[in-house]
Amino acid sequence: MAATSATNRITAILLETDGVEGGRVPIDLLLPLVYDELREMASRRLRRDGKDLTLSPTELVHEAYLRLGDTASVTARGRAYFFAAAAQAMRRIIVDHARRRGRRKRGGGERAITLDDALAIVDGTDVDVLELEPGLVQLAVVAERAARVVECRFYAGLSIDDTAVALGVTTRTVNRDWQFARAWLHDYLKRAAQDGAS
Amino acid sequence: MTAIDWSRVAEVYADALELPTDGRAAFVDAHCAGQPELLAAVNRLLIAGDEADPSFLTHLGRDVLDAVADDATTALEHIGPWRIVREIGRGGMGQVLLAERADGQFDQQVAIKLLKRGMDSDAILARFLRERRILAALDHPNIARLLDGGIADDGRPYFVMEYVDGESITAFADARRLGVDARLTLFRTVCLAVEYAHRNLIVHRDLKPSNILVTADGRPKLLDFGIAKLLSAPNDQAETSTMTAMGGRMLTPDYAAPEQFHGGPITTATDVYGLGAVLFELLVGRPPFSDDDATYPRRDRASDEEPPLISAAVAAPGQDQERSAGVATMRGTDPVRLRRQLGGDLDTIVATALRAAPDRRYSAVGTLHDDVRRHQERLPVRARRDTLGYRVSRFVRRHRLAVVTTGAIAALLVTFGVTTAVQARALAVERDRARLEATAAREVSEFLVGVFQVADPMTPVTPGQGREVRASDLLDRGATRIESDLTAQPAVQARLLGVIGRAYDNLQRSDRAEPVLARAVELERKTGGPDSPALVAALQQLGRARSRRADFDNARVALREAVEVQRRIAPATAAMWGLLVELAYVHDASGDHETGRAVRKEAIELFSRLGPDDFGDSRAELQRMAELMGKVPPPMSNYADSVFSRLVAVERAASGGDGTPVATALTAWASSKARRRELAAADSMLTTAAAIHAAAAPASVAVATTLNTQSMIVMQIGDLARAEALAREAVRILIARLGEDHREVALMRLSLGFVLQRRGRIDEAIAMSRLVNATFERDTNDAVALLPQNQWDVALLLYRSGRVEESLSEFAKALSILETRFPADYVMTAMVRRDYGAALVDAGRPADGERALRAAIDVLTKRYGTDHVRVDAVRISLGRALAAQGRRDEARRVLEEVVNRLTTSRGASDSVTRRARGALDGLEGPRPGA
Repeated sequence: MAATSATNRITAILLETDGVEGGRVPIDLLLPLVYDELREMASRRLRRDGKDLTLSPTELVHEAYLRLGDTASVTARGRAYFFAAAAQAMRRIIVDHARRRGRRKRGGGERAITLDDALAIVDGTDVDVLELEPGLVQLAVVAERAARVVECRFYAGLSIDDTAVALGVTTRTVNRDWQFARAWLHDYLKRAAQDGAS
Repeated sequence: MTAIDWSRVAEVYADALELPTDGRAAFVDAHCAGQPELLAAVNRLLIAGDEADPSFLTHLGRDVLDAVADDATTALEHIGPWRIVREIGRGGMGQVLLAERADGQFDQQVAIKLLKRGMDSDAILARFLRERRILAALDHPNIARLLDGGIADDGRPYFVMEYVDGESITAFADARRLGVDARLTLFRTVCLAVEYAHRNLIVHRDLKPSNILVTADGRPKLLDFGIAKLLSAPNDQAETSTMTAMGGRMLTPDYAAPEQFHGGPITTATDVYGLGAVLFELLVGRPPFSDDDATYPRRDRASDEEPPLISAAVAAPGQDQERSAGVATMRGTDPVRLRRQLGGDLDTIVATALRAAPDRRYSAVGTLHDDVRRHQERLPVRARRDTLGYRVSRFVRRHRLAVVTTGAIAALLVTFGVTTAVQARALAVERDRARLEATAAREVSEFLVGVFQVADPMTPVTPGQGREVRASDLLDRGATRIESDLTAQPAVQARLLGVIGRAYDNLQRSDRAEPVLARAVELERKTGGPDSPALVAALQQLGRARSRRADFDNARVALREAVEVQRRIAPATAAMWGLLVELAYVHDASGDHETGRAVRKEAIELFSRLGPDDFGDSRAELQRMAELMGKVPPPMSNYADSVFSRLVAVERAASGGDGTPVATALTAWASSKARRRELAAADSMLTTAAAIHAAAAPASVAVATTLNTQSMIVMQIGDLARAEALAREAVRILIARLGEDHREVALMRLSLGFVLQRRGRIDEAIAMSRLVNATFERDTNDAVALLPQNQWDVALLLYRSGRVEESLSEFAKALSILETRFPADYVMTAMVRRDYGAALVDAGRPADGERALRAAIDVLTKRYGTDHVRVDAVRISLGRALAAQGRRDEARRVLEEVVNRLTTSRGASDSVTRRARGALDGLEGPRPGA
């Protein structure tokens, strides 16, 4: 299946945007389409690879972009919008999924800190997205662009360069934002763990 | 986080990062001058950024695809030629959907079992095609037909089955209040269906009530025949169970036969077991191993234990009366009559079907069916009651006894109020492990009560009345009696001695604990064999006790053995982790850091593999481990936080909120944090802990001790006013609860005294100390252990605050206490004498001072050697004493020697050297002052 109606629509939006200087940010338009597209692709991969699947977010997002078909005419700005939308979509998908899964495990109701959560926070390796999410929301209030950087890098697995493209800034800016965001979020998680304990 | 200009913070932070590490602080200070909030924020970030693992936020830890794809498929409308009407149910394997023909050709409703993702669809489908003929040939009125199978559009496998509109057999029976006889009849129909399938070479493998539906007209229908086999792993030599095929716990273990756990061959006997489990539940109201109090964690099922007899299970003595009545009502009778009905042959039939070893069950379902029929027709049954099985369950109940006694002894001690608050808290750790079961533990309880025959619970001590009974005396008595009275039961002896040993340990009497525990180990080895968990526990306790006495070499021996045995029994458990942590600590403590590191590494790896469920029963263990971790060097000490965090979470979950165990855990965590200088965190944790205790019981001992601990920490933070307030409150509460003269009050007053000292309120501090001394004087043990030190403190306090004259009599008092109870060359005496001597000099009695100082020097020389710095420090005072008597040449000689020695050994800028130098220089100048 080359291009579905969804991908056509996405491409159209991207092309449209490019032609309009200072036009309406199409993230809102893109987001639901990209969202569906990512999920569709993921299930197809699952079906094909079955148990052996190992797909990173980066691959998924890039593959989704490639499937858009005729992207030759899409400029850098259009591409940027796509990736930014993809990052947001990924975040939403993953956080929603985590919420659903969490609820099923604990049968709804008050969410207690699970042991793995606590351990993860202290270990600093496997981050629990549900713990991270309010932090990310708060970070967005305090430093919006930095939060976007985290979306791009963590949820969509974009490189520094790709992130710079997606957000329309320099790589130096992305680097600085990234350092800041990491430190800020680590501090946030640390405090959250302490507050949760007391 | 109010009103901070975060963009500025980000800027400074990012800029600072671009500098080398040592330049950062200055840079940050410069750029945040005059803006403390900005500075604090940047610093916090710098710390956080440093702490964060390099891999933090660089990858999503789980399979993204799963998340992304999971709900994308909800809108499946068609599967094959069927149109989906609605979802009927959802289970571990996937969904069950109601569907009908899309082409309107047949007026038939079907149930479609749509499997979850992640299954090996192609393999499953291939197997289905192979088995299809056989499965489709199963044509029986009580078996739901398997019609078709395939792969849906979204890649998931599905099976189409005859739709059965009914309820599970247990629900059906309960709803209609079927009596025992009617249930047995229903059951027999099911047996016949299973037998039919066996004749056609199909084993169900997954028999359970939810797979046996009964329609409204009373017809049982068995579902999912053969599906379990289709889903099992492909290269099955032994046809391992579906449980492992999914890589996880998919089926509930309640109805699964032991061989399905072990991976043994699945045979018709497996279905017999399943039927037995169903019959059990039909008659008793719950599955065979599913207690209400969940005494058996699921995993232990693999230990091939025999289930209780149905007659016993339905009306056990300790059981909830309401529940028994409810169960009986749903069988149209009352508990007494029900018990009678289930006894006798029915007990035997069910037990035979549920034997752990397949070859000891009914070999064929038909035989099971026959025996049930015979029972209904009052004919003798074929199955034989098994005395061996009976003995096995007795043995198990006896072992549970051991767990119970731990709690019993602690509970008794506390109930009788013979332990103090502190001690009770320590013992309560043991209590957490156990649950009292009246009947089984009755004999032991009586024994213990006999041992601990005491008159009266906690009374405030009044002078003239008898001493309060000491817990250690009781334990002594207990240990003796256990040795003498229980020689015929070495296994029980071993357990009880273990309990006593643990209790000693908790009371800080590890010296007494050790021999008792060594004996317990001996007995365990004899009775339990080389691979018993009880032996591990005993060895661990022994190791701990030795470690507490700093006998690390022998502690190592015991713990090493414990680890080896545990490795043979159950290597990947929380218990093993606990052992490894202790062993690592002991290695470190005895100087063998390399081995310690290696063991720690193993422990850390194991810890990361353990999940929340692994710690359920061992909360006390977790706490102990966490405390231990606070004492070992990094990186292990970093794990203390994660362990504590886990402990708190486990306690929260267990108590459904913020119960007292949570407070205890938080307190322990706080101490650990305090040791690592994270004082603010410790402080806030203790506030929470105190609040929890206060909520449970407003002016309790627990609140007092928590506040006291907190005051010490707050004192270290530097907020002395608050520290004093906390300490005062703690003392106030304790006095209200225990009375002025109680020992614990005295101990807590000491803390208050510290704070007062730090605040410079010497008079109050001294008054406090005097109160404390008065209490200590009354108790001979304290008089030896605590009084001298405290008296010395009083004297020093006075001396250092300039009240030299007053200090003299206090020093004298201290010395007389020491001289009465201790040998002449006791080091503490010498030290007090040294200080006394110095005070005498300053009080204008240099000759007396000289005498005292020389006496001190004699003792200290004997202990440390004549060139030791401690002795030299006293010589400095001696020099001053001589000088004060006008004997300057002598003084100079003494001091010069000291200065030379110290300069060589400790350097000229060392504080002691400088003191000596100062004294020497002072000889030339005006008379040395105080």
